[in-house]
Amino acid sequence: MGSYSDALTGGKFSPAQQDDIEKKLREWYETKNGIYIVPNIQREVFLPVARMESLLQTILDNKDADQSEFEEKYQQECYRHVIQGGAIRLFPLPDVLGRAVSTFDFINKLQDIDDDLFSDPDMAADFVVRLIAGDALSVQENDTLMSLYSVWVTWNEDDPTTDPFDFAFTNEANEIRANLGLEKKAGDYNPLLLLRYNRDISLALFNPTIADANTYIYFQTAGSLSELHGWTKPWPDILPGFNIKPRPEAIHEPEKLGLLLLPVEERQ
Amino acid sequence: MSKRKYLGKHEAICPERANEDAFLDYLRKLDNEEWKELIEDLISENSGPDLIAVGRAEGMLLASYASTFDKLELPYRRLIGRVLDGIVNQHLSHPPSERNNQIIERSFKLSSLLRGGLSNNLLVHIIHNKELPARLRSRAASTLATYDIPMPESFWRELDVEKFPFLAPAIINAMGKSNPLSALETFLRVPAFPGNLVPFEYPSRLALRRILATDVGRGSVHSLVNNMPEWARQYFEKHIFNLAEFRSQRITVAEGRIENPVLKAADYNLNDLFDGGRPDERILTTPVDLIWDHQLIPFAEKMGFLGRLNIRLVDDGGYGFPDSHKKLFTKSEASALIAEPRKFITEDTTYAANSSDIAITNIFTGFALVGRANLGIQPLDHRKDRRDVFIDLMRYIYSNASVVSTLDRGGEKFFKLLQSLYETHDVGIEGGPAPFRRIPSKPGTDTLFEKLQSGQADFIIGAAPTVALALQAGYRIYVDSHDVENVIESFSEGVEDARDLWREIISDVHSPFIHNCWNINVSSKLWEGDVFKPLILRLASVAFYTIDYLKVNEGEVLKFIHERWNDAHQQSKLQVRPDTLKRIFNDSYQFKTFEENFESFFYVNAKYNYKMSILSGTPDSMKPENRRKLYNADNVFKELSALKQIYENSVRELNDRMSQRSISREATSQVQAIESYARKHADIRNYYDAVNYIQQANDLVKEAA
Repeated sequence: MGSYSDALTGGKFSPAQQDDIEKKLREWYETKNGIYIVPNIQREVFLPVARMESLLQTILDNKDADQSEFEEKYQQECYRHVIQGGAIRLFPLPDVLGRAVSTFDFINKLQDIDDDLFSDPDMAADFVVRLIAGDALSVQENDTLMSLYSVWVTWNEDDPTTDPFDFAFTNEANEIRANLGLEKKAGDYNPLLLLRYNRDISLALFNPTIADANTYIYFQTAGSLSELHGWTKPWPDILPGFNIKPRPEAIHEPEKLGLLLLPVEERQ
Repeated sequence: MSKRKYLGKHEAICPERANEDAFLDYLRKLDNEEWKELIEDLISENSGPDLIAVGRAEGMLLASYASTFDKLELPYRRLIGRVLDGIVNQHLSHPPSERNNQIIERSFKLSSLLRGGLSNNLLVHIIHNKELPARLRSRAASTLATYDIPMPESFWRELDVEKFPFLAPAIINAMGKSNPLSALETFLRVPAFPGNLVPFEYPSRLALRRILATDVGRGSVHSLVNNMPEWARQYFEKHIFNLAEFRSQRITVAEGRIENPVLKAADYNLNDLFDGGRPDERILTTPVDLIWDHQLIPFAEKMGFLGRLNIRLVDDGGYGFPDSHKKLFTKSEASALIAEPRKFITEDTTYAANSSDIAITNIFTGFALVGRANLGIQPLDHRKDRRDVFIDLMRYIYSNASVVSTLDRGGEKFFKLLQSLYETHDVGIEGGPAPFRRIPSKPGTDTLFEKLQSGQADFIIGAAPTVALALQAGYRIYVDSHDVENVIESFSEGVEDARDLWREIISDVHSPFIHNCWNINVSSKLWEGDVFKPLILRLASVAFYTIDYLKVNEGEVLKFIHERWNDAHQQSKLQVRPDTLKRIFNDSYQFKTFEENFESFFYVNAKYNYKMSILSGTPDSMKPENRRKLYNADNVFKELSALKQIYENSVRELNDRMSQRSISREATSQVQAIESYARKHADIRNYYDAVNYIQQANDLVKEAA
């Protein structure tokens, strides 16, 4: 039994309400995003049942809203249940974690994280240039968070003490994007920063759930409680020369920039 | 919310997600009202799926939109500016609220990203408006500083930074682009420490970088920084000049740069410290001891802190604590130096009577209860007011009859303390932990950690290395000694004198705090004679100086401990990562400097009262007069403190004599040479030899007068 079936039939919802929820999910499945989101909801195992009940209640309460408003309500509800998938069961935990983020996004997020330190977009850009050059960070920079919210990370499945991006056959950013299931788009991408960092010993890694994924489509639930951690959902494309397969995945709470292994690599 | 008009137009023009060119065309077709709605949604963060569907929606919404807006022609960008002005004016006219300020700040951010946007006039009005919060005014100034078309320098110069220092970083940023030296002169106008220094970092860094790119810049920085107010001078010296990009340029504020006296003293050698009258060489044996806070002794040896006092250290080649320690204490007097958790040795009275404490280097607070991460219970995490979390944790252990294991008596005491705190404060206790298990240690392995990994123990109570290994492997610390301190504080709320409760804990046999001492195989009764006193005082000075060194250069000490630990465990799974070691080292040990010793250990109400703690470890059968013989660190400390006082008085006396009496140049240089030996000894806490030398110098002045 998964979180979904336990929540649906656990007594909170009457049979009529259960039917309404399932009907709404079937409708949602027919939409552009729902085709990805609905199967994940139904296969979710790590989200605690009470939290799944809240999500299903939101689906029920907004079943008649138009699709855009419905998804917005679902998104808002998901935010209330992030990082609830429980600690991953991998022992030992990986030493080196990896996260890929577009340079453009990273620069802009830095301003949101600490607008005292980075009051001008040029300052955040200067910081990223120095990260790529391997310049040592200042005390204040070391102490600044890498993100405002929880982040998704991967690691080297074969040797968790080494480079998380070692799997790539090429130096192309798209090989990383495809493996990690980063957003796919037509046209040019911004360069991609590969952030590698030592896991702080007290940092817990959690199983990602549908609440963490929210309405993001490149996500797949673990599907079984026997999984030790989450797995990425790679792009479905066949991309010759690339080594593409699901990579280990977890989420963790924000960490400090001081943990970054320098220099940070930027791939085009 | 009724459907926004800009959405309807988007659906009509671009039913599918548009490429950027199509999206720009769509934006050009928006009328004023539609622009207002779009920007309001963007700024107010009502940015649900609609905005994402309309915009390019790659990552950051505001930044993504700004990047697209940037590609529009000037009239459209002016229109965006007018819309932003309207939104900000509207929110400024509302009663102040956090939500209003957030919207205004988001407008600032969009304007920064566009390097234009909100009008200069409105931003200037906000900067000057003393009724508005400082944060809004400083953000308005930061925004204006990013604009492509800069304000004249006179505007920035005329802002009153003495009254409003929070404006200074924006001024430096704005002026720094064209005139970096003038920009840094802003520091001259901020006489008082402005509080938050974080916003100064980048403006100062970027201005300094531009200045140093020119040949003449360097000299200008010297004179400018020298004229700055004291807080700014120190900020540049300690912070800006130490940024990695400038460090290699070795910029100093002035010739009279203050050197760190502790680091300078690290280089002193035997010849720097003694003229002809060196002490006889002493050879002391020490065990090979890898316990982390015990390694200050070999570290001091490696750094030459012992050798410069003519004390040589040899290791006995044997591992193992405490057996090898005991063997050393059977050797001839004053031949062994060890680091020892004093409380542990008090029960073995023979062993105890043959040794005495030289100095307390630190308190060990490193016991921790460690278990699997996913037990569904929370750790205490050093946070206060977690009595409920503590109760939940102990209930878990009791109701699951959890197996708790440890290696030694210290760990067992720690758990008993947890039990006694819990049992006194929970009314609904059911069940109990499984019988406590002590596990014999095996050299080269961590048997305790292995028990946890194999599932034979649900929790372990370990000390530093075991806790480090467990954390590295993803286990979790549920409660440690710091947490216990918080829990005790929390439980003592309402108790008339909480201090009494604390004293009771410390003097209790279950106390989780242990004094770590340097120890010599000379019994305390022989301390009273003069035979061993010079050696013991010198050793105490090495202990105190090594702590001074640790406080200013912890990295080097940790590197030594890390290398030694990992070298000894090369073939095992006990390797510890440097960052793990640093975290656990800092959590497990509280090192106290010479100045902190009295208040921490010897004062009658000292938090970690040494005497109470030592006595709690002695067997009840021991006679009181014999108990006193077990501790001696207080006597050594008292003697060293007295010598420090004598030294300082003698320095004053010498200075007075030198200024009042006319003595020959030759005698003066002799006095200065001797005084310099005294000063160096004082620098390394060796007040015993410092006093000898300073008294010689005083005698010489008397003779020469």
